[in-house]
Amino acid sequence: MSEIKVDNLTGKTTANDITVTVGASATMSLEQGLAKAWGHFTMSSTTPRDSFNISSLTDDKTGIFTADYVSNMSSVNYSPSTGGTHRDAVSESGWVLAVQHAGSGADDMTTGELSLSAHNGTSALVDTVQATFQIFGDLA
Amino acid sequence: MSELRADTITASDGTSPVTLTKQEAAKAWSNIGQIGTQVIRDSFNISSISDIAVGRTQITVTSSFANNTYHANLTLRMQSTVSNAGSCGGIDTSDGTSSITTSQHQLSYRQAGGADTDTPYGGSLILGDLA
Repeated sequence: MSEIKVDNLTGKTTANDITVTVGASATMSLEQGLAKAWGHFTMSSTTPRDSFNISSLTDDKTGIFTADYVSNMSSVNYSPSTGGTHRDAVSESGWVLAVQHAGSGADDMTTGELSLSAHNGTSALVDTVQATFQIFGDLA
Repeated sequence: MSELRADTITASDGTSPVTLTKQEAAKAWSNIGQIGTQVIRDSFNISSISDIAVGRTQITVTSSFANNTYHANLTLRMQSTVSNAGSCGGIDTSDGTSSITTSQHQLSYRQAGGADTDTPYGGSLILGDLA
């Protein structure tokens, strides 16, 4: 097995375009497969337990937090995924963590921030003790 | 500081997958809308989507997976004080795995009350091995 040790990888032809072999024959864009931001936090604190490319967390109201990015996304069409937590027999469970929208579409998710909401089985907003999210897409 | 510039990186035998030390790249992701004509707003390794039923979307990937045991995570969407379409969802399966193949998986969205509902904002994140 060979190993290359290097601090930076840059596309030779296009800076953010490196093709890697990822299957027996399949190849893919390295840049498209890398998470651009992620976070792990509790809604009782605006200091994340751990994060990547997150500049700050804001406690908007019960069950709703906003995460701001250090490096912005290139459009609002990126792909966020979330994870909540469930505590048996505890009413404040935030078992669903979702992307929060004030309107009816994707327009409320901006290139610089994302709002997340936690709710329980009756759809009431609740502060969850553990929230996680991941962002994939293109940086600006 | 060192910097390597290359357009393509392959394992030293010229064909095998590259190992990313202590990390793994996503193999597919999508941002879709189900309202009206279903649309792909942005995606990676997604070739097409099909409107299967209310709240359901079948996603076909460009490069297939090595098996049907890959990991899939959904985008869930919450809108306070309204119907919350898309606030619940999952990978649609009739018996646990039958709807998931190496090239396709289905998304199923519901509102808080449990009824199948088209969501204005959904998608999936897939991790696993490509064929």
